[in-house]
Parts: sequence; structure tokens; C-alpha cells
Amino acid sequence: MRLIYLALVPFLALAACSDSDGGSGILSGSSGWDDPAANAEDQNDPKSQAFFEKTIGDRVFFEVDQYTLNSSAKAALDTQAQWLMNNVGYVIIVEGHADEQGTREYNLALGFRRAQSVQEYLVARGVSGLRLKTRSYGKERPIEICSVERCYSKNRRAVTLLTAGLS
Amino acid sequence: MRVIYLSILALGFFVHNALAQNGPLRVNITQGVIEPLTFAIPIFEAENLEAAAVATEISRIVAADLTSSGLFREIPFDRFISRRTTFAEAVRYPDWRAINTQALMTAAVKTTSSGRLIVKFRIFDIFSGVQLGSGMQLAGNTKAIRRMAHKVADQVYERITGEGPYFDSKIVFVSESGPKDNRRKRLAIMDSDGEDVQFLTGNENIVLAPRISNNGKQVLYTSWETGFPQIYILNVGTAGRKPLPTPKNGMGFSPRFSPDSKRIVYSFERGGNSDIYLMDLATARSARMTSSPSIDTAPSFSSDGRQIVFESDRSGTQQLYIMPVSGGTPKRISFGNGRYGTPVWSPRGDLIAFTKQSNGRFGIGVMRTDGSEERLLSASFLDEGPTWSPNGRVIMFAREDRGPKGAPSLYSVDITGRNLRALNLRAPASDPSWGPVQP
Amino acid sequence: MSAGTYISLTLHAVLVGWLLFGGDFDHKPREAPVTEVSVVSAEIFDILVNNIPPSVDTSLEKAATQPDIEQSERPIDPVMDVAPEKTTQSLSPNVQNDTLPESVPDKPVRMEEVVIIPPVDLTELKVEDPKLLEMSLAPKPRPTLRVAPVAVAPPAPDIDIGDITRDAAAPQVDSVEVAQEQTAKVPEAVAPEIVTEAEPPSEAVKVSKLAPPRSVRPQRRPTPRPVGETSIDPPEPTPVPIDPMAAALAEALSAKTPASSNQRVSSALEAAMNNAMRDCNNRGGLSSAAAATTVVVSITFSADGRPVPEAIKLVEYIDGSENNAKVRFEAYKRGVLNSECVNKMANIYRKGVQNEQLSVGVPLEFVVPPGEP
Repeated sequence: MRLIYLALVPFLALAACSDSDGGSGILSGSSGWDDPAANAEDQNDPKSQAFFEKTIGDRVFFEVDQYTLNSSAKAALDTQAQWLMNNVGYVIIVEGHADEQGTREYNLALGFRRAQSVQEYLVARGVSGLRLKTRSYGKERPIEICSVERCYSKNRRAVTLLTAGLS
Repeated sequence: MRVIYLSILALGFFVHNALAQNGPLRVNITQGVIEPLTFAIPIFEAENLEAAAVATEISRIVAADLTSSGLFREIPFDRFISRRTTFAEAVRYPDWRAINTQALMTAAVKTTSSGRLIVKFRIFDIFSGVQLGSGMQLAGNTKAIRRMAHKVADQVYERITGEGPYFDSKIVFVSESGPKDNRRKRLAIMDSDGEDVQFLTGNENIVLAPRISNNGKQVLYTSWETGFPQIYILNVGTAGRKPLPTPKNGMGFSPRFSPDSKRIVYSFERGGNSDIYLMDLATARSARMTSSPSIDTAPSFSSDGRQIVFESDRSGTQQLYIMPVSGGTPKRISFGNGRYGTPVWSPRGDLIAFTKQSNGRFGIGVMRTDGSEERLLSASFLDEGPTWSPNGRVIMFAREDRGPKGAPSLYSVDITGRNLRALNLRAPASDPSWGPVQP
Repeated sequence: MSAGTYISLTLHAVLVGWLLFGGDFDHKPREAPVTEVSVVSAEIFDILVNNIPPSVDTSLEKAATQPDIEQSERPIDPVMDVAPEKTTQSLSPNVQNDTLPESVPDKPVRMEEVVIIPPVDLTELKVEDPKLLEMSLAPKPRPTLRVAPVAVAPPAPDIDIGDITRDAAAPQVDSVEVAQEQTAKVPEAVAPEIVTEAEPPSEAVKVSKLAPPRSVRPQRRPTPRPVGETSIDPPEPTPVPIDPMAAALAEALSAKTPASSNQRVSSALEAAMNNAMRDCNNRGGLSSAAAATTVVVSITFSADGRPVPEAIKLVEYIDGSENNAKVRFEAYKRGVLNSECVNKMANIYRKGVQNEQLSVGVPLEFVVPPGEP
């Protein structure tokens, strides 16, 4: 793990020098893995990725085997959509996940469905489809590992990741 | 005249009865037991000094293989009455009968000046007092002792039980390390007994569900190397790999080879929906097989290559469906209480193995290809991903424990449900794919 | 002759024909000698034919000499997991065939080669003891598949062939003891059942307690019958002339009728035999297909109730291949020759002979049903 951080340092340094549209989102790490420590300063910058993750909220959650958005998910996505439309420099990857209560391939497919639900919703809210991509990690990247519902519910998620933009 | 004929008729009945009563009498056997066959393998004779170093190892691998099948039980050395010293000496049947040895294997090993190893062996049916067959010899290089031992075990197993061989085969799997929320995975290959693990990839990317071809030469798998799941094909001999081109605007995953290794069937996601596709490897052209808004995934070919079986939630929950490779309406075959996934067709063609999920638990099961005679062979917190041994007699799968310390390991079970046993691996492992018997 | 006579003649011919040939259209296994054949590759065939010393392809050995692949991990390249360049290339994540080069790792995977060579020098077996030679090296014919339903029984032995399978003193002593032990157990199950209508109960009970391990009993049948006439299938297909029929009739009338009919032992005897054989009828070491095969095994017992090893034959098989049947038969035969069951069975058999339900020299055909392996 340390090697990753060490190798990241130059990128972070570069990022700090770039304009605000660049952000520090080189890695996909915001799904909870390989997460570079978001700078304290960045967190308060309303245009930063760290702000998006911590304050706006970058994820929504699902019921078991479901990929439809409930009302709190929709509310969260409304907020996300607004921010994304105000910060058009990012390319967005919507990443779907599942809990471990299922077989491997099915959970991959379920993750895709969840990512797609979020993508469609964001597009309906006005985010440009050209900026959005989806992918799935199935059950391969759990956040919580306690094997009971309070952990499972955290893993059944779709995360909106910000990556370096085109502009 | 009539009286004479009538009396001859009567005679005829009498004679038939009499003759019948003097014929063999039939006894219907209705009772029996099911127990492993006892066997003994005295240490192989080493015909020269260099062979001595490997003679013991080879004989122990053979014994371990036979025992692991669950069909054999070894008679330990300390019970032997006969001390065999040479391969050529005669078998003292009463000595082996006295300790209830049903099958005896004698063997000898030697190394040649050209650096080769030669193993020869005989099998004896002790209670019938005869040698079975005419014995056999194998040759290989001195590094091939494991394979030679597996080949010998296969010969003994096949001759006595009538079952096809399976010990001399490789299994491709995912070797895992690290905590559950930071798991590192890499592809690996090993002997069917869990030994001689070699790695096929590094572990810097997520790699899943490797599937070995029927000729044992290539492996299909899904990798996040590019950041997005993609199907790769890997050459076992060189471990070289490359991605397979799938249609635009979507992602391929869950691939499997056809029995002739010329096509693959896989799951392709586009717009959130996953369907079954077929690709011809020579042309890399894909054809779509299912088009429904349901999740269709985990496809695999029938043993004759004419049908596929896959899982789909088009009925509301994951169930198993079969359909002809040439196209047609998928036909549902699973109807039990629960969800069914990861279906794999037996090499014998008669059964489909699957993962079943019900009441919060997972288990490996088998059913006939029309869905009848469903049986569960295992159950636990999380059992999944069955793969068939080349002779269709044994199923291997992954079992994971619950909780933060949970890590997967590989288990095998006999098709009768007996002999559930863990593979003795040094690291967590999942997603096994059993290769063919090597020639 | 009148029409009625013709009709009568035809009917009688049909009747006689049925008498003679009626049993012939049951399941018939193909009769074939069992040989060991192994599939050999062209290379091995060459060796076999030309007696060339086998040579193994050495090209693989180069790979084999590479150092073992350690569990060392390659240095982790953080850029590999989602590089930003790739995400900006195109919105479609699909990578075309030519954009990623084929990756080759540092060390190739070791694959060893093993070759099966013909067993050229396996024929010599050193013989230390002539008696052992008799026992274990006498050429034993492989069990052949026979055409149903006739098993030609060997002549009823005066000498007990069972001797050959017991050369050590210990087993013999055991067998006597076991027999005595068994008599304590067996009467519970057998004595009340073996009694037939034809006999008073007391006789049977008395006999069971005193049964010696090896009895030399006179033949039950008054007229010694050559083997050929046990057959329902005499060589000539033409209607049998009256004289043999008269002779057979006389014999039939004079012989005792066993309680069983339709060529089966009584259910009581069958139950006793099943009990005795149960632990030895082991389906456990069989392939699925062999366990699913029905085999009919003919066994001829000597006068003391022990099976004659050479007279254990596969008579018929159903629902399996030839090899399935062979394997199933071998397993059953192993069980039959298991000394525990030999002893138990011997008691039952001798009782059956005393009760005139069985006669020494007439084989018993055991129908071994299919089952799960």
C-alpha cells in the first residue's frame, strides 16, 4: 500500500499546481480503496473532489437484489447532479457494487445494473451523458466486512467517481 | 391316438418342470454396503540409488491420490505381514488376505543414464488371487515424478473402479491474499491434489473466474487491468495473455470455452443489461444469444457443445436455463425453492452442477439436464463456483467463511455427496476450474 | 391323416419347441474375451513395432530447468489500475484488439511430460516357493462373459477345492471357530425360516448346531446326472423322441421337489444368504456406471459350502457396458471370496443342502442389482 502512496506523491504535487478543474482525481480510489488522503484544504474547496466525496456525498445505497433508486437515493443524486453540472470539468465513472450474498457473476451484473440506474438518473437530471461511464466491481470491493446486514447495506452501493476531465 | 398325444403333452410339462428344478437357482441380492476398497502400496522398489530418493515420494503420492478419491482406504505399513523387497518376487496372497487387503500394488522405480525415470507397477486382486491386467511402465524426466505418480494412481483407480482417470490433471484457480476489504487476487495453476502451485499472473489487478479449455492449453478470465472488466485469454504454457475483442459500448465478462475450444460463450453488459453472447475465436466475431432485460450470465457449454446452460433472473429470481447453441427459446430447468447460479455441465453430459442459495445459505448441487433429481452436495455460509473433474465423478468448489477473517478455500466432494474434503493449500483460493487429464 | 391330426401335430411341435427353446430369448450378453488394451500414440506404436528405445521430447526439459516460480510479487504499478489517459481516450471502455500488446510474464509455466511405454519386461516373477506358484501363479482364466442362461457346473467335487485358498493354519482354525460362533447367531435368523413344509422343525435345528466346518455328504440325488443334462437346451432342435422324455419323466417323478419354484431359492434361504453376504457385497469402490449395472454371478459351491473360486462366473449383465460388468463382477467376486462371508455363507449353504433346497454341484446365480455407487 505504501508504494502506491509514494508513487502518488508526484501526482498530487502536480495536481496541486494545476487549475481547480483538474482536481486530484487521478486514481479511481474514491470507492474507498487506494484512497489518497484528501487534503484538508481540498475538503473545504467546494469545487474539489474531496468536497464532493465528503460533503455532497458520492454514493447511494440499494436494497438486497435491487437496483432501483429509493427516495433517499434520488435525493442524494439530485444533489450530486447539481454539483456535477456546476463542475463540468470532470469525467464521471459510476461504479456499482454488491454485497457478498450472491454468486460472483450475478453480483457483477447487479453492480452494472446499479451503476446504470444512477447514470440514467443523473442524465435525466441534466448531466451530460458524454461525461458518464459505468463499471461494476460486483462483490469484489466491500467497504465493510462483518457479514451481517449493517455491513452488507454499506456494500450495496453505487459510487460516483470523479476523474480528470477533458478540458 | 389322442390319448397318446395328450400324455406326451403332460410328459412335456413334467419334464420342463423337472429340468427347470435341476437348473441353477437364482438368488436376488438385496443387501450390501458401501465402503472404500482397502489397498496397500508397499514402498516402491528403487532399482538404483538415484531412484531411491524418489521412490518413496512417488508411492506416497499414489496412495494419497487413491485415498483422496474416497473410494479407497489404505492399509498402513505397520500392519503388513509380507515385507516386499523386490518387484519381481511373488505375491503371498494369504499374507495380504489376513490383513484384509483387497488390492495390492507393487512397483519399482529406476533412473536411466539419460536422466529419465522409469516406473513400472502391477496390481493384484488379493481375494481373487490374481493379477489384474498385465502391469504397466511409464517414463518421464526426473522432474516429472508428480505427474508419473498421478498417472500410476489413475491407472490403478481406473482398472479397479472402472471410473475414468482424473488425478493427472491441472486446476486453474484464483490465489488470494490480504484482508477481505483489500483482497489481492492472481491466477494460479496447480496439480489436482493442490501441490505444485505456479502463478500465471501478478496480483496488481482484480482477476476473476479463470476457465481452462478442454485441451488444457488456454485460460479465459475477466480482469480489471484496464480499469474496466474485460475478457482475457491466456496461454498456459507461456502465461502470455491478451484481451478478447467484444462488441462496442459494453463490457464482457464470465467467459467459458466450448468443448472444442474454438468458441466462447460469455456475458456482455450494455446499458446496464447483461446478455449471453457467443464468439468464434478464429474470427473474433460475436453473436448475441439472449436479448431480455433480465440479467443473463454465467453461461457454460454442454459436453457435446450443442447447448448452453446459463442463469437468468427473467422469472424474478436467478434460475437455470438451457438453450441450443444455434439459438432458440431458453428453457427453464430449475424449479426448487431458492436461487440457482453458476451452472456447469458435467463432462459425462448427464448432470448440471450449480450454486444454490436459499434461506441465507449457499450450497453446491447437481440436477439432471431436465432439472429433475436435484440433490445438494454441500451447504455452508458461502459455497459457490463448482467445477467438474475430467471424469465427472468429483466436484470442486470454493467455500468462504463469514466475517472479517473469512477467506475462501477449495473443497471437493464426490458426486454421491460423500467424501467432502478441503484441499490442502497454503493460501486462500477461489474460482477453481478443473483441466483435462494430461496425455 | 385328418386335418385335426395336422393341427394337433402343429400344436405339439409348438409346445415342444417352446419347451426346448423357450428360455433362449432372454437378455444375452455378447460373449467376448476380456483383454487389456491401452490406447497408444503413434510414437509408442513405433516403439512397439520397431523396438526403438523410447525417447522423450527433450524440448520441454529446457522449461523444466527454469528456477521455480516464487511467490514474489511484481512491484505494484499504481498507474495500471485505471490510468487517466485511458479514460480520456474515448468514452467507450472497449479496447480494440490491436491497442493492447500481448503481455508475457517473466517466467513460463513448467509443464512436464510423461509417456506410457509398453511393459516389455514385466513377465518374470521370481518364484521362491513351489507351493506359492500353485497358489498365485497358476494361470487363471480371466472371467469370461457367458451366454445366458446356462452355466456349466463343474462336477460335484469329492475333494474340497477350498483347500487351495487356505494354506495357513490360522485361517483354518478361525474358520472353525467362526463357524461355531455363527451357529449361535445364525439360528436366530435362519432356523425358524429354513424349515419347509416338507420337514419337521426339530431336524433342522438339530442339524444347525452340529454342523461341522467341512462335511462330506453323499449326493442328494439318487441318479448321478452328467453336466449336459442340466441344460434346458440340448443340442438338437428337432422334437425330442419319446424315450428320453420317458426317462426324464421317471426321473422327475422320483426326484424330490424343492420348496422353490421358477428357478429361485426360497425367500427364507434368500434372506439368510443376503444376511450372510451383506458386508461383502460392497458397492463402494465402483464407478457410477458399474454400480448401475446389474450382473448375474454364477457360483458353484463345494460340499462344505465354500465357493469354488474358479467356478465363480459372470453369467449375464444388464444396463452397462462390458467393462462396467467386468468391474462390477470383480467387486462382487472379491466379496464372495472374503473369508468372513465365506464362513457365514458356508453355514447357510450346508443347511440348504441338508434341507434339500440346494444341491452341491448345482450353481447358484446371484442377481446383483444396480445402485448408487
